[in-house]
Amino acid sequence: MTQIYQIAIASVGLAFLSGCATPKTEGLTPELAVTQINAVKAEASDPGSDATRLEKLNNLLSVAETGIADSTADPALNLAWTFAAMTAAEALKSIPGQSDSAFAEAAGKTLNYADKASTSCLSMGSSRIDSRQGNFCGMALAVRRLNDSSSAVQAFTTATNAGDWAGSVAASEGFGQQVSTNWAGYNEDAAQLSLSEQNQTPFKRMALQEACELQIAQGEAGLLRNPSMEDDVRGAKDAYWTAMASAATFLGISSSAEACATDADSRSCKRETEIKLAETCQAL
Amino acid sequence: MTGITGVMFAVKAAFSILETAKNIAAARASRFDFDLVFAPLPAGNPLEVARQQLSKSENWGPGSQHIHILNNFSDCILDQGDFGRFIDPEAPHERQKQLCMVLSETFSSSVTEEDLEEFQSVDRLHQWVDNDAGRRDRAWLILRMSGLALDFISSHTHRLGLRGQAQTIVGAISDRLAAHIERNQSTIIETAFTKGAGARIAEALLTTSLEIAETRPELFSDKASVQALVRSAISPFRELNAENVGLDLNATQRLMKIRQVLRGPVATGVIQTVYEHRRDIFDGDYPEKESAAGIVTDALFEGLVAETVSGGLAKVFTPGFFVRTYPSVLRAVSASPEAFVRGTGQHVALGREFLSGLVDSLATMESRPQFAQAIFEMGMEMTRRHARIYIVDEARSALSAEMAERLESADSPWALMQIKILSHIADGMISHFEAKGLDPSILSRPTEQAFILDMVGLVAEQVAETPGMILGNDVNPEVVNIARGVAAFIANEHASLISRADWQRVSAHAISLALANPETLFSLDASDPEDALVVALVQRVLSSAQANLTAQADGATPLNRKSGQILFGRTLADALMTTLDMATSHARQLATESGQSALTQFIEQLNQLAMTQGAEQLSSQDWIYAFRWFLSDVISTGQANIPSETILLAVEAMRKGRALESSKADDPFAFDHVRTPTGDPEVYYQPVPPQGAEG
Repeated sequence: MTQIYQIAIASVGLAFLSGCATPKTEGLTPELAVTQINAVKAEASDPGSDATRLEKLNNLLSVAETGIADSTADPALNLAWTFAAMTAAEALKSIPGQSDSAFAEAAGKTLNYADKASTSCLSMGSSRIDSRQGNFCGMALAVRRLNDSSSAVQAFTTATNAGDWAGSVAASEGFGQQVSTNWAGYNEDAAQLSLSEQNQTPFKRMALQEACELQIAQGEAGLLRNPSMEDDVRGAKDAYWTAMASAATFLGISSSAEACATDADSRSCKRETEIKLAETCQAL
Repeated sequence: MTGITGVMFAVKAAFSILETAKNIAAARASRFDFDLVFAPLPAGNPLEVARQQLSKSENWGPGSQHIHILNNFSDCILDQGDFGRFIDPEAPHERQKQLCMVLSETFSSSVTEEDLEEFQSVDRLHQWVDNDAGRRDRAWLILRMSGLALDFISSHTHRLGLRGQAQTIVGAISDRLAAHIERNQSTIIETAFTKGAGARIAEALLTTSLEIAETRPELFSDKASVQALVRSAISPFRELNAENVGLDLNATQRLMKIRQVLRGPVATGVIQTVYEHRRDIFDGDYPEKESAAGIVTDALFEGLVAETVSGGLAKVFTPGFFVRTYPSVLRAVSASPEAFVRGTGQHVALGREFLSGLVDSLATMESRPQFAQAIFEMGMEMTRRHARIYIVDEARSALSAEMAERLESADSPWALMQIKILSHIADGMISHFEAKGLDPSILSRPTEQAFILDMVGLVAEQVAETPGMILGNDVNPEVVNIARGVAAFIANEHASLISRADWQRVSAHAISLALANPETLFSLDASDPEDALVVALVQRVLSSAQANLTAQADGATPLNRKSGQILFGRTLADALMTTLDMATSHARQLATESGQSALTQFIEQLNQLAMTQGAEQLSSQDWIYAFRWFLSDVISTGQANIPSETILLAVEAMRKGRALESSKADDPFAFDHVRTPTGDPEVYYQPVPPQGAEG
């Protein structure tokens, strides 16, 4: 009887201690969390499953946020959890069917965690970053440096769909400016952290994706297929072409692109460059 | 107490082990790199792809072979100079689609008709939010909602008076929409200009439109039958819409759902309604109830409804199948009801049996749905044209008693047999193309499909007119062999030396000769169609022609050939037909290697002569005359070395003969270049016998 009593106490005690000892991150490491996030993101989208996907990603985001809070004493683990949170927030943005406020919240968190991770990476400096940290520093910096390009694409979409040609020009110019400042800034960050070519690959892929998103937005809004010969429509087309030529130059898609990235260069040169970029997007 | 301390120690130890194991696992997991998954980019917008292809200067620069596209589609291309070219959004959608398909085929992009329709539809949905510019498109969508119903009776559109009604419908939508805005004012103000506002407005329009269409079908027509049709088409859409309100689907997702509904409940509802109101909808076109056609059509219709509801036909047919093809069934039934009745023509309730049989008849096309519909329509058209004469007259009098008996006891009605025959012919040809290793995507191109179907029709038409080629339940195996043989020679690697029109001429000639001499030209013993005599000869002649073009100039083609290189196009087609003629009378010699070698040597000799003499001394007409004149002797003797002087003398004599002929007022075109060479041309001189052939 005594033995049974002892075993019972031991079981209860073990269960209690295990419960206390189980981390709030539910046994996940940042890496496993990111693997799960990517798996959820890659699932096929349909109205039924999207709600479940949103729920799963929100759970994983909470886990990552808990991980961040619990790892303040360990900068490397903290950085890894920050990256996991950024990945979850970024994945949430891609799920259709959520409310505007939920989308805005996810977008805000993506930028927030990308900023946080990037700042940590840059403060650590190249000498203290190992290859695995280089891997996610490269991605965090990419998300931060490309966030404003994504906003420019959204602004372009809204303005062009609404026939707000001045807004469309401003958005295209904004995108072109991002290429020359933030995109170029990424190269400086990468040099500062001595990121390997491999660790810079996600940025190149994401930057190309942004340019492709702009091209797709243009196609859906039908800007270049707009038959109007009004000056403001022509101006919107010119601004779009200039932005695309800049992106193509940066991405090295067209060897001749550099020669037509400025306003003074010929329209046909920019048009050909944009077509080349569009063909690259279709091959993605 | 000691016991409890021991247990606590054990618990601590266990926890420590657990923690260590967890750390090891985490460390293992940490060896993997982080990765981001990129959301896939949306599929390319076909109109954008077309814009890029039209604007890319290297596609249309000097020397481009595609300029004709710009000319042929000048009515739907907008050229804005430096701003590039694109498809005119105001051009008819059918023309836009044709241009997209031509560009896709020419520049090898992966745009399909389905993609294009989807994007055109999405474009229209986007235009909904623009109140003025979108009026026409809103009307279009309303009409599209009852698409099957309206398509079904597309040939009766005038009875609906849709054009006049469209404005009324749009007006009704505006009224309802105004009411909707009134009811939902606060929500609209709250959500206006936010993400998804466009989709919400479109949804409101969609809901309103569906409501209008179902509750007020009189706006479409004052005829009760059409109102029932519209209501039955719209009802499933309303149900779908009610299920999906609030899901914030994007336009593409919504269209996908609409398509699913079109395939199922709408198709069933429409067909049932059309059946119920058949006499009203078809008015005077519907056969009299008491007539044979009326009885057969009713039975057929009833079977169609039953099969549609059970889904039995879905595996072969596309969703719009019934809509587009049913009128052709009705035409065929009206023309020859006996063709749809089994055996001697008792009026049985055969509708369901016929449709089940249809699936069997088209069974070989199951994996080629792109051909199924065309084969079906072709079968119906041939039934309409041939069946009555064939069955009623020829089968009972002109044909042998045995054949008449076979037809009497046939298991399938004639119309089914016709489709079965066409399916077998098509399958024989397509299988051979596939066996030759041709890129399967070729068969998805409309132009290739049309060509294959033309060839199938060519074989079938001649078969239908040749007694003995149709058995009780199927086609004679010889016919399938002939079809495979025809496929074999048009699949030849050098087939492009001849235009498609000329291939049809050559094939028609080969089929005609083959049906008269099936065992000679397309032997049933040949396990591979390539072994048939006709195919072997065609390949020999084509190879000689290609060798002539390439031997004289590196990389030469019919486009950059040199003077004197004349064996291509119509000349080559005529040479092939002459060779086939010769094969019927000299089959034994031509089946041997020496006979075929003599044939190719003689072709090479004539080609060489044409090169050295030039067009003035030996034109393509002269070439064909000389070929016809000497070929019989060449094959008979197996000797091809006819002296050039002899050939030129013969040509000169023939020219004089031609001059004499052309001077005859009653026969100004004594030599018709495209005339089927069933006999030697008339000549006014005695031919010079080839040296060494005197005997």
